[in-house]
Amino acid sequence: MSDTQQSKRKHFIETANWVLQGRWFGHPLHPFLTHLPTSLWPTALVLDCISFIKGGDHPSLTLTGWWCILAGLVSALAAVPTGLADWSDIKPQKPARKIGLIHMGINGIVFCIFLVNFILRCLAGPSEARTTLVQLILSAVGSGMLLVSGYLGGLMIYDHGIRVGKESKPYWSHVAQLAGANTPPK
Amino acid sequence: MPESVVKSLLQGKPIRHPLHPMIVHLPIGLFVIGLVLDIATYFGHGSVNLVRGSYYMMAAGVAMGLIASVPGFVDWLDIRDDHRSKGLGAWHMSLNLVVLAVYGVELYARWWKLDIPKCDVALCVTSVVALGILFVSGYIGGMMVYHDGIGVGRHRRHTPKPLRTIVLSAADSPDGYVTVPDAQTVEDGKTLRLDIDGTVIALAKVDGEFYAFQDFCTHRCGPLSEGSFQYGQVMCPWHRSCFDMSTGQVIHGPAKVPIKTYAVSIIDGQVRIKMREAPLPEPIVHSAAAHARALDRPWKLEASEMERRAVKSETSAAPRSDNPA
Repeated sequence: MSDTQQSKRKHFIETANWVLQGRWFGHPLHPFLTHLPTSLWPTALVLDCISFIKGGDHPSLTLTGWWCILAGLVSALAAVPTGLADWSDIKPQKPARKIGLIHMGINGIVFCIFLVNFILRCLAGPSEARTTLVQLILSAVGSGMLLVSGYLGGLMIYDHGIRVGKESKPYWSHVAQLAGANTPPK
Repeated sequence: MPESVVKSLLQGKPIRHPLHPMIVHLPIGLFVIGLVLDIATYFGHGSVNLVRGSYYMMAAGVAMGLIASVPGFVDWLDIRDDHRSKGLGAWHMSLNLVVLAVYGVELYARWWKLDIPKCDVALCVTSVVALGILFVSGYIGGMMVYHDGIGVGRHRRHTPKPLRTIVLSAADSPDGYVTVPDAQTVEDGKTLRLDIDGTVIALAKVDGEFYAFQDFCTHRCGPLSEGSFQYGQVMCPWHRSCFDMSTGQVIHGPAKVPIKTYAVSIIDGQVRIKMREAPLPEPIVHSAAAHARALDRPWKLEASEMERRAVKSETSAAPRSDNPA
């Protein structure tokens, strides 16, 4: 690869990271985008449970569940590149890199589970107002795995401090300097 | 004395993950999907099922929001009084309560419209505005975590953190030592955060010994006064950099620069921190101004020029015994 090609590629990666890592936004995008699938897919499970246990037709429950899963799928797709961009900046020797890989893997499986779940609901037709056992099991397994992977994501922030203090380093370095402390190198 | 069990549980310490950021996902997702369902009613003939679904989502959102506020409030109480996140947290809390109040009113208004297949425009717009406020408040919450590290690594600390900064001064100290009032009653594992003439110092009591060091980690300036202690070292809560509390040396990264440490002595049962060497006796001033005053010359002259003139005037004033007659 020639020099100009290499520098163009580097510039592209830097710009992509600037966008995807949320540097233009002031803080990471990935945790923000993940709020939707993490809350809506377990919500779909709750709706499925209620509808299944009650039996019979409950169109408001199944319709809401359908929308919850769809919204979760769309926002999960948006969350993927932001997560990859954040993960790519973690140094290989840190334990958080491995945790991120497991988090990514589980989320990939969960996405597929809910995609299949969604397709089944679409195939059942718009007037179908019952939750089947298969849909319920898929929602349950998917939500269970999501809770584990979401917890791992939380550990990356609260136990390993990924992206913590990065955007605010200039501010806190200035405060530390005024307070007579040794400061981090620039 | 360790912290109360209830507080520890509400802060998520046993699971190494604060509870508030976990639960908060639910109201956010539920309010968003409520709006999505509202907008969906405008396509085709609308649907009473969508309207009802939106109602359930909003009601669940308000309920989960109220539940999330409990650990959130406990987390906020644990932030130091003079930290900027105390103010940010107050804003975050207030905006969130406004959002919950708005949705509460909406729930009342919607109750009478559950049989109408399309969402009321005014209510839709209200939801959009409420979500806008939620977005701002959520952003502030993100700032508290990613800019100020609130809750990060907090589970490694099992003793109370300093909730205020004690302001002291070494200006009147004759020997350069500052006495820290009531420090001798500090329990093991606790820290005091001190501001001594602008220098911020963490005073920690670990295994019966007192250590004083700068409050800012040299990696990304995490609060060392909120760190954890082991083997004579302090560990930063953010990224686990470890420093020797006596020498300030980095024992474990990612920090690379050592921290400043200060000598602590216990005199007559009082804890005293050494801020500087004792002041020297009044020095003899050889400034250009003083020299000029002595020579009765304008002080703007350079010292070297004045010295040259001083030497010249001395030699010219002295009688010259070898003058030719």
